[in-house]
Amino acid sequence: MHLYIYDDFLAKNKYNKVINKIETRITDLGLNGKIIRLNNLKNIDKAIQEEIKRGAKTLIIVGNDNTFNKVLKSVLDKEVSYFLKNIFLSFIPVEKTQIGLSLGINNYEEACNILLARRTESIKVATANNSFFLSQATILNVNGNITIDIEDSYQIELEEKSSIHAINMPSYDLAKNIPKKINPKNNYLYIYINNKGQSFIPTKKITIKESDKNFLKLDNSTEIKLPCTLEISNKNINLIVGKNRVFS
Amino acid sequence: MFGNKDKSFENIKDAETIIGPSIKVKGNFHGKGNIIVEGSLEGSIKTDSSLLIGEKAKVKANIKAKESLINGLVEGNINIEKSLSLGKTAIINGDIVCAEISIEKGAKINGAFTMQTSDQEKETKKEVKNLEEKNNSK
Repeated sequence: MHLYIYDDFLAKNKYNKVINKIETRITDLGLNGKIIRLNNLKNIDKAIQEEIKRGAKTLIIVGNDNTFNKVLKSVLDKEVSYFLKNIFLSFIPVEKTQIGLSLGINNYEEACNILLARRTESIKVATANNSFFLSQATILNVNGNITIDIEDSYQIELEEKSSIHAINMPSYDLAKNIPKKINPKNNYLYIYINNKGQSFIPTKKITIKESDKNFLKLDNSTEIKLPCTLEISNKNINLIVGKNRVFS
Repeated sequence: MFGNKDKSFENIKDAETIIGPSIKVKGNFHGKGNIIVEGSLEGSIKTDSSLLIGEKAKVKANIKAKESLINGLVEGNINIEKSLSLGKTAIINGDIVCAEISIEKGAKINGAFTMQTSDQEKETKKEVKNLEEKNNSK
């Protein structure tokens, strides 16, 4: 059963045209399903989890990175862990999104065809303290006053203004710049630091320590306060991905 | 990035780990794949593959690797299982142990050298010894 999850911001008039186009395409492709709108819900987690328990197998997230992260949190909750291996997440981005680019989905038109083709990949989800992320955790333009502990064996200090990424599954944009192909199935997080040059370090566990009011942004949506420990979780998630997205 | 044209280091893009400039690493840095250091490192560095130290790198550490190309500053002892190449900008303040070495004109070394027997040489010596023992027993 298909379950479409619309984010609350899509209730704004400016998105009417996009939503109409998506719904028309979905009908044309014969992929109709139940729709739930997050703006009508008091408890998002509970609403999504109830639908999963009722048999929703393919959850199609319609919105942006923030929408995806909200649904990911609900799906990975222990309340529905029994169902997790049979659930597939699909994404229809209504704007340019980091997760969309990570999954090989550039826009909503492409997303409908990708949903129809149903090419799936299962990848590990990463954690930052108690929050989940799929693609990457980022601190942009940090002023050097930051230390990163790697697997409790060594420490990195930054000497220049830098952007720090902890990558599980890079977006296409980032993947073009990083020196090595990243496989999100191999239980490693990759630290990518960009300042005067590039640094690239595979690791199992990272702790980013105090700095001047810096936040770590997960999947271009949730912000986490420092200090923060990041690692790959033991949870896998099934994703419907674009045809050019190969993880190996 | 690396002046030395040693062919064994052509697979530099396959480096598992890159410590870029403007990065300072402190502690015991142990990796399995190829490592490139272009920044600063203090502590120890160990890999069972290749280690490349760039021209502007400053390494205050004991080094253990399968093979290495050094173009920067190293303060510490270097233990290389196979071949060590020192570029013209290399400055080594420490003792070196390796099986093979190539030194470009301009490299500075302050320390003792020990040429370790390579696995192949060890094998040949063992075979010769065995033959000698056989002949003596006859």
